[in-house]
Amino acid sequence: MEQQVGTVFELRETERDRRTVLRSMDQCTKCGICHAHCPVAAVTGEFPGPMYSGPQAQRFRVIKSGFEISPMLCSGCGVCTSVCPNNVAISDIIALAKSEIMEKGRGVRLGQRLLNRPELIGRLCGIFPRLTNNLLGIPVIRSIIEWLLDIHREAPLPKVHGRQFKRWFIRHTQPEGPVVSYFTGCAIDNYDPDVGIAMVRLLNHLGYRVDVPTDLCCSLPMLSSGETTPARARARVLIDALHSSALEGRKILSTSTSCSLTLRSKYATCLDMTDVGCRDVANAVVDACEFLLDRHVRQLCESLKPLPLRVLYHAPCQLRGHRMGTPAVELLRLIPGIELELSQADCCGIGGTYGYHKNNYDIAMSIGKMLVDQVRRFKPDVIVCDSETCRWNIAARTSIESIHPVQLLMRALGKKFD
Amino acid sequence: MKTDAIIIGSEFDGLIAATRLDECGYSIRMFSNGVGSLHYAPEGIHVLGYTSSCSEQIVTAPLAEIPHLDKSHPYQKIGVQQVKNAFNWYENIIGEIHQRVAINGSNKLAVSAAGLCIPVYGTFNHQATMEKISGKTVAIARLRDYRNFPADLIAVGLGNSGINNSIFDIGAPSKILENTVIAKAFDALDELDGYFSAIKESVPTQTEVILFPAIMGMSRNREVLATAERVLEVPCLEVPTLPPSVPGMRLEHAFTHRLQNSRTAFHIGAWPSQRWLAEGNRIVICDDMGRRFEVSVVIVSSGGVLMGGLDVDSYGWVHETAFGFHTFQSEPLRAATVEQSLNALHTAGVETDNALRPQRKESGTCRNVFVTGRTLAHWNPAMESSAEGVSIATGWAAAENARGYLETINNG
Repeated sequence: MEQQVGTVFELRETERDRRTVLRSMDQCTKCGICHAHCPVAAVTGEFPGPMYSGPQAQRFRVIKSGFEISPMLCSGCGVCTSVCPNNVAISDIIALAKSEIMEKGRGVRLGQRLLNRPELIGRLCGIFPRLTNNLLGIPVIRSIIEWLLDIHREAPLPKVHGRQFKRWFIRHTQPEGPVVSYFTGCAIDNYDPDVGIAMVRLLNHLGYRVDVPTDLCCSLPMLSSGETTPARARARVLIDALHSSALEGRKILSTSTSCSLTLRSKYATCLDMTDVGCRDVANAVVDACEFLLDRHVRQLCESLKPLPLRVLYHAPCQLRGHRMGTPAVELLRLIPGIELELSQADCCGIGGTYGYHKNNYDIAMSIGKMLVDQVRRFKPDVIVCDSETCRWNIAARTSIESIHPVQLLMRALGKKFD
Repeated sequence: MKTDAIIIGSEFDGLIAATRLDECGYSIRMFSNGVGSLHYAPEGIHVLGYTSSCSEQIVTAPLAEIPHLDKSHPYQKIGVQQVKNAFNWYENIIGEIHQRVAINGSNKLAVSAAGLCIPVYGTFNHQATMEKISGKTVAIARLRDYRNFPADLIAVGLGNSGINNSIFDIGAPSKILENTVIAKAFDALDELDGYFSAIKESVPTQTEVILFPAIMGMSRNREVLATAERVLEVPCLEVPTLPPSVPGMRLEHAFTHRLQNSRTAFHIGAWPSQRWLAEGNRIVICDDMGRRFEVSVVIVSSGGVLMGGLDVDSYGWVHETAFGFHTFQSEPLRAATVEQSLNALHTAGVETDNALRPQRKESGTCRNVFVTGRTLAHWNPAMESSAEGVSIATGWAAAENARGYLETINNG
């Protein structure tokens, strides 16, 4: 017989929507802890810090919203929200302010609009992937892109792969077994097929049959740069595509902490989408590492072979928003012989598409310095990180292979890629 | 994954309890809701600075004073011998993971951010105490436009204590003048020697000790100060700044770093939304995202009203936020005077037995839940100046009691 340990005294908002996010500003006691931990405020004097830009400035925004630059410099890493002792949804407040400024003010620039449609770029460039990659390697072309589209010439753009994952998946034969859905997002489909292939193979190894219901983008780039109307339209299509999986009681796995966080909570907080469909999908979405840790520790322990590697694990910013600890670290520690060091940096600097913008690039580089220094000291064989833009950034800056935790697990299982 | 204990809140006492349990080989998860109150703890380890009856009367030997405290005070519940054991353990562990703390059984007078003398039990190596500066000519290093270090106020305070002092200006290693930013900038400085050589000329002649603000590096703190002493050829000490406290953060980081590297899982932002007792007295906790954890022991170290472990309702009564445990409070927070109200706020908290186990509203004492630190009732960290001492003692005692419980159930 189960019994309550204590009576419930509910204080925390368990489900946040736009209203509860904005209302949390009144809990701010101006203690300044968020400011002390903000990676952006530490490197640039132009950003007044999360406390001022978030809950404090929000008071004035309530009266009259006008042009203001400060929220635009926020990288959205969410460190502030995670260190706040008073439960103020600081980074969400800033994100909402950002999108309001974009909508009412100067609008979203062409370059950002393009970055906001990663699958469109992926499709276009994926027609001739080698040609595109070669062209993007030419400095003059990157300078023209910077001039035209505000995308910094040194920004760590990923390599385009065409639709390699999709082609592989169609031909791939899977074992019979319980079905799980896998939400690939735009990155796997166009830029990072290896992660997707590793994930499907790992799930097959564990006895699952994988279903990929859609390859749409979760719309996070749009939503975090203020294109709310198209973001909402796209989110609706995506929710419809994923809802049947959720209704069948399947888990929807994701290998990208940012995509899964968007589905789990950003639709509610930033787009005010709180209907049944969104809730069902939000509850069905689960991070790949969390899923593995929850259900397959014993199975993995039995089959993981020693992997004598020096591994540096960097927890991506969005992982904080999941409030689930660091399941990847717990998984990596199952691998025998691994020498694991945890990143001491709060953020690698790139902040999704934040660091691509020419105005933010220098800030992003300064933020990332701490991680780069640690990499130089530790000299890892491989860097592991759950988020794709972080991996691209880290790989570009350190020239060390950066992979997703499931890729390392596959290596420890002794499985080869195609 | 198997987990023996969940610690709710990563306050100092939670970190202490986790470190102790981890040392004994138990697996732990820490739920935390924002950073802990070490961010506000600038002046070392306060064990008992003033007698609880009178905040004017300075205590010199805190451990000897414990038997005179009220019987319900956490120190009294734990007992003097256990408190001593806790401090001995702390002295060892802190020397191992951070830096040696000078603990010698009596309070020292440390210089506060306002230039006052404050009784502190454990001080850091380079912390300014009256013992180290009395009778000497002191120079206070001031950073122009830096708000968190009132050098002039400190000069007046030291002057009143009869210490000859003067102020000199130094340049900051960073453009942004915030505590953590400056501290990290010192860490990143390639030319430490160069920096201190450059300020050598501006140090007033005949200076015997230099007082810097306590922002001289975050992780490379010892190296920064050692370089300063080598180049400037006088002892260099740190005086606390206004919060957030860099020495407090160094301490917190030392503990979190050790725990993270020894398999403790930190669930930052997670908070128990449902909890119940399952088969065999196991405790099931669901976080607010719906994840379910089953453990043998829970330690509640979620802090007081400031850090969200306790909250005040609109009638002026204090509640415990994670479990809704029964709380003690002398009077509602609308008492006649401000002092009464503040005292009621500080001494309010969870009522426990001597093993720090809280009462359940319906049916007696919990066997495997322990409460620590500011979440406990019957002590006044502000008036007694005892915050870190109670954190260490209760965190350690909770871990020891939890260990006892875990051993009994593991042995059948």
